Amino acid sequence: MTGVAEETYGAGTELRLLVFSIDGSRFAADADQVDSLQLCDPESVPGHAVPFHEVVGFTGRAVTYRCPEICTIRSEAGICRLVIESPEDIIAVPWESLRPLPALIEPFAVQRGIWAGIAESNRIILVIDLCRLASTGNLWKMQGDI
Amino acid sequence: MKIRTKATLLNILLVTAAIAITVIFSLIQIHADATAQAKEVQESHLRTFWELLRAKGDTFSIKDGKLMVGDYPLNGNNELPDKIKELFGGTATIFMGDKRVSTNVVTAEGARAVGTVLEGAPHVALFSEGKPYRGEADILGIPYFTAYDPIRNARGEVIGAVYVGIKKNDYFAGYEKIMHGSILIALLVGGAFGLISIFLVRRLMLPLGAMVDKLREVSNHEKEVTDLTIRLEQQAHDEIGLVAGEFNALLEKMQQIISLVTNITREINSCAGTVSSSVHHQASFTSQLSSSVSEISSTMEEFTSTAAEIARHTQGVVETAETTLHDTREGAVKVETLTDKMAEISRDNQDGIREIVDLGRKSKEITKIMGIINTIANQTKLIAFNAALEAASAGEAGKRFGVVALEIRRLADNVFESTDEIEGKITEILDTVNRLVIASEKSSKGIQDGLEYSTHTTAILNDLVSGAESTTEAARQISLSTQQQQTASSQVVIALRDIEEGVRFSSSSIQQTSEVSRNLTEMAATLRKLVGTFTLVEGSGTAPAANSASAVETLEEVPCL
Repeated sequence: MTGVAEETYGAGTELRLLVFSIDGSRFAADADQVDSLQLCDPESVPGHAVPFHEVVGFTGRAVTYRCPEICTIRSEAGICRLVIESPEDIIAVPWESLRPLPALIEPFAVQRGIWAGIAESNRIILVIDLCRLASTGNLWKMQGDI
Repeated sequence: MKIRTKATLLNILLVTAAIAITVIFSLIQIHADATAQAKEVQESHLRTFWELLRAKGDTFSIKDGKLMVGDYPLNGNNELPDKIKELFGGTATIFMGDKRVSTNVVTAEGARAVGTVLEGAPHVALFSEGKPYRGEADILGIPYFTAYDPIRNARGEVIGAVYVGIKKNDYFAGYEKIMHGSILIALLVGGAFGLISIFLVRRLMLPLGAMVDKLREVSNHEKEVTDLTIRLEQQAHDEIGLVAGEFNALLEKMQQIISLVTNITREINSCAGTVSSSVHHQASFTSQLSSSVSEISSTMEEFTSTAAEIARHTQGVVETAETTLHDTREGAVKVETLTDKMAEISRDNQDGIREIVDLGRKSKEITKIMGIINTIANQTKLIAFNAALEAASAGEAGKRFGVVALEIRRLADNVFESTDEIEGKITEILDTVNRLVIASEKSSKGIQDGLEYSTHTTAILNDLVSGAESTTEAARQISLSTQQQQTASSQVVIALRDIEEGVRFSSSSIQQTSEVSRNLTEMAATLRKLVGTFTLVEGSGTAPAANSASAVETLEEVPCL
């Protein structure tokens, strides 16, 4: 999360998260980081869009997107387009509902943009910072490059 | 009696008989000539007597109890009988009736024999038959040739008789002398011839005696052996010499024959043994044959019984085959109908499959439509997400828009859920369609198979009909054949019974043959023993082989069964 965001969010505030699933794992991204969503033909993914699982570290196994969509992230660093599964929902999560990651895995998770978790009834939604992910993956593109 | 004695006696008898026959013939001739001469004389005397009577008168009559010729009385008048005696000798008598009234016959007392009555054959001839009589008679103990003629009166009635008699001795005295002389000469000649005959016969029979001695030597009863090597001597070239030669030839031939008989006897003995052996084997074979024929007869009787049963069953088979043929024909018709129905079902099934496939195709089209709807829902949802993102970025102003976006997103989710549900249903429909298609195809395959099976079954049933027809025909033929077989079996049984009877008869014949063979063997042994009694080679006691006169071979003991 950026410092601005940290200043914005605090106790009593809610975080609006875009929830989507990739290969059975549920992820949630800050809706504010998402500029837009576009339909994507699963057969012809544009070259400038990077599949989410490749960036997060699902490498080594094949992941099929049932209904892929291109998630556009726009920041000062540039524009990044990730191919994600069609979002399931946009949920508002109280800040205090966010759970920090275990210290053992946090250094590794943070490198992939995952910074917190939300406990559901019997599973965990991994909260991911798409900007950090784009930066870690060096995915930022300029407007003219696309 | 010796033949020499017989020949001598025969010679004497023949000579004596010849002499006797000659003498007797001569005596008979002389006797006949004497008799004829006596009768001629007698007739001459009688004619003379009649001429003397006719000289006295022409007719005879009885007047006053006296016989008259003419007027000349004859009773007690012995002139004419005495005239006859004077002229010729002999006796003469005139009868009035059957009583002597005039005669020259004188009794022993010297009185004329008048007043006596004529009796016997002359009386019958003269007075009963009215015929003359000629014959012999003793008059006063002296034999006479007698001649009686009847005296007839003018009416032809026999009123008396004329008699003339001449002494038989007057004509047969020379005959008696000749007879006695001839007998004496015959005896003398016979005796002389007898002596000569004895001499000649003895001389003639000497070689015959030698032959008899030789023959006795051949027969040799004491040794009970017949020596065929002995030969008779041919002393003369007469019949006896020829007989001796022929006898020698006969002995030679007999020697050869006996040799042949010896050989043949041995062969017969051997053959009898062979025959006996063959008969024994034949009897054994016949016994086996009889047993076999009995078994075959029994089997054939069972076979006949079985054939009868088969014939009955075959008739049942024929009826069953006919029923089967009828049922098969009906079955073929039914199966053809079934095939038509199956073809119809197949066509209906194909139509159903086409409909189901069309339904599946339409369901897929619905799925496509649902895909479009989903795409639209996706796009709607995407728009709703974007709107929500925009609304979020719009802050408080975008809250209502965010609610709308949320509702739109929920609506899109509902659409997704509905389309998912529809897709599930369509999937189920498609699955069902697929299953139906598969099932229909399977059914179609089954129906096709059934159709093919039906067609095949029809063909099979047609073949079956043909086969049933053939089977029925064959069953009929089998029934006929079985009946014929039954008849043939019965005939075979009858024939086997005949054979059995024949075998029994053959067995009996074989027993008889065996008996005959045994008898033959015994006879051969007896014959061999008999021919063994002939000496065929000089110095040998037994008979040699026949095929070589010089070879001396002793008969070996031939084994008999």
